Amino acid sequence: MLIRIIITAILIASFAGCSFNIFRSSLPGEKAITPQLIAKHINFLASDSLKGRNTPSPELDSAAEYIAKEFHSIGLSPVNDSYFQKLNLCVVKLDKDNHLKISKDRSEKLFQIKEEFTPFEMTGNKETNASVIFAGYGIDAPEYNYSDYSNIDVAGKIVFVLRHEPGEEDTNSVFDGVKSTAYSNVPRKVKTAIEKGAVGVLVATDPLNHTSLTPRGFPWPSLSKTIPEDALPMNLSMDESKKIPVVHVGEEVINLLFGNVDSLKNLQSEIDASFTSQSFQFENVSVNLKTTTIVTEKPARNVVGFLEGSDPVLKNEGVVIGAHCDHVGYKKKHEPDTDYIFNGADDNASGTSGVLAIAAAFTAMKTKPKRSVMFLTFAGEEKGLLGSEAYVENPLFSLEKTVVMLNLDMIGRNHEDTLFIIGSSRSPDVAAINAEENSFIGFTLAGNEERYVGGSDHASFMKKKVPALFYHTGTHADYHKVTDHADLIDMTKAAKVSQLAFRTAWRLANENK
Amino acid sequence: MKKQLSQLVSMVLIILLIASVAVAQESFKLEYKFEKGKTFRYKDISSGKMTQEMMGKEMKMSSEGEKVIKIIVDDVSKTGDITITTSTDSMKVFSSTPMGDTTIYPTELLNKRTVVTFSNKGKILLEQVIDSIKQTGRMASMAPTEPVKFHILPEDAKAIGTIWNSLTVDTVDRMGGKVLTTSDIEYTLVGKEKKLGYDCLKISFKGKTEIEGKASVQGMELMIEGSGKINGSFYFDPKLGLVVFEDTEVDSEMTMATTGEQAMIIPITQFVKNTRTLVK
Repeated sequence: MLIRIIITAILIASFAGCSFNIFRSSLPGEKAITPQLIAKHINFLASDSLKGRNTPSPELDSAAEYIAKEFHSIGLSPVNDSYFQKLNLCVVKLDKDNHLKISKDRSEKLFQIKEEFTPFEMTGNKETNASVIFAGYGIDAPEYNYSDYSNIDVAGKIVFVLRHEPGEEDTNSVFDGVKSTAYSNVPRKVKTAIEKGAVGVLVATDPLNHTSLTPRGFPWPSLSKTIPEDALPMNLSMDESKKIPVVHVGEEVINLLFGNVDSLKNLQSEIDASFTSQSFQFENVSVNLKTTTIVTEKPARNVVGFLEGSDPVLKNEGVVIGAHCDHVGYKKKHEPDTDYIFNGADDNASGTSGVLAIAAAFTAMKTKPKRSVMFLTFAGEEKGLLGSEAYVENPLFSLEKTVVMLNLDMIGRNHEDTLFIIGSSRSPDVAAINAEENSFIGFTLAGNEERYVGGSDHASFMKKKVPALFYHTGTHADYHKVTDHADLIDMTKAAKVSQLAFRTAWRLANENK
Repeated sequence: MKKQLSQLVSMVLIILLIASVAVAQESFKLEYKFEKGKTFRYKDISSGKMTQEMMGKEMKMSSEGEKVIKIIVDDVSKTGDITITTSTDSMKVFSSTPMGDTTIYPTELLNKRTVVTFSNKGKILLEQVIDSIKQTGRMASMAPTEPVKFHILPEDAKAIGTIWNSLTVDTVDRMGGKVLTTSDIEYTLVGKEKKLGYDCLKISFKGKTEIEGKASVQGMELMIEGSGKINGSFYFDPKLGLVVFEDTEVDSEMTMATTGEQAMIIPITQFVKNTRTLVK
């Protein structure tokens, strides 16, 4: 009797196990995501013919054409009549004609470049003559109820600002204290100064928390004996007409303007203690500042495919699914008969192939999603997230209406069952849906929250407060090496990751709220 | 009695005068005098703050380290040249970066021996790595290139208050390239002081260093240049010929650049504080 009961229990348990598989909720479109489809895309994108898809390069252009053709054949729509979003990338060199002259009480001093002032990388190709205003830390932060511009009008003036932010080393600071906020970054200070109408910026290292006041600015190769010009990084182009001269100034300029460094220290202490603006205009001081640059354009393209939502209201909201398609190119100098191409099969032909497969899954569904879905592949990720940064600065779908960004980067290596989900703590609702959907896929989800948060294109969306998740199967010995080959990719795993991202995206594109 | 007192006072004054002249003129010949067969250990404690900048955005990092260095004195030649075997007994490194905090115990670096021969003035004459360390990944930046660095002591005897200068140029092979470091240090013999139970001479130092070099990492060319200010002091037991304690602060500004598949120029600012204590 007991034996019969045990046998019956075993049979029921076996059946229950089978029935779980039988009734597993499989979405029709999911079947479109196969290891074979992933392999087809990876084998092309990571082939030697694409020479490592450097940004910019003809080979990256070929990859972009391939992706655009796939988007078209799947049935995705172009945006603004194009599957491409043009990126204005550039390399900026410092030209020869740069000077800083300060006139005070009828005497004039010319400062030495590199020793006494150095232009920053965002400086403009301009000359300006104006009076000078001390504008504290150069911060206008309404959310912290702090502004160095509250009592001054800097329109048409040159501003003198300190680096960093009030209470830099103070854990009780109204700002973030030991970990600096975005307000402490020089580009942010320059952007604020431009918005306030300033025509030039003198930046000094804040003397209270920093012993070295060397005006390093940007270490331009032309001012260096070791750094070559081809080390200059690529940047997003800025409208040259909106740029202003921006230089880092040292102790000599501080001494001329403030009398000595201690006076500036006292001012900084007052700001830190009172948390109020101590800004003022220098009397009888004018500055003649000129910086010159040579800008070389480096055009590249993001690829975009659009699936309009079916709900008349919700279609105005969108889900973005993205991956970067660029890699780091090939070795210019190499031994004959040695591998010299950084194929980037995992980084990130795998994620790009995932996006293509997810797009195929969406269009294979019997109904369209309620919300719109934007499929994106980015260029310039390896140069500093430039493609995604350009997208969020010029979005093709309103960022306010973008409910989530799912990023796939390196999804085809390491243990078959492990997947890192990064960004869960910042987007807990999305992470919860992803975890629910994973119960149908079966990954062991892991995630070191902060470690990779800034490491890929989702970070550009997070900066703009768009909820985001990053799918990643971890780094490995072939990362950024010529050995990152397609034959090392676990195509089944990459397909499973794509299926999970698809299921999560489908839920998010159809949830009522 | 009055006359005797007067004579006594005069004598005392003369003795004091002679003594003060003698103290003022007391000079010390500074030499390393390691004793053959002996083993010494130093404990190094360091802390540092580093800021890297990319595209105008700063990334702050900090670190704390602790290690114990072992020195076995293999030989002392007739001319005073000293041959030692150095290795690291223990090492712990804590680092705090925007990517998180980590504490590591790099066991790969422990007990790796290097034989160093140096003059009794501290000039390194020969250096031979016995147990090599594969300089890849994190080891590339952590592997010690000079397990123990000695201050260059002056050739002639120095009196208290004396200042002297030392200019050293070191070339280190690093990751397929060479890194050149030039140090121009001014030393001052401050005075006598008891430290950790040893009768020491306190020597302060300050100066500047410059670094310049090129290397190659995974097909990328790597360039580094920069300069720094150094200051600190060390306590030297002239009888034992040993540094008993040392504290150093280095404030440096460097630029690291890469070419090849990734072009980058990264300004780095670093402040490092280090103490070295002779472990009994």
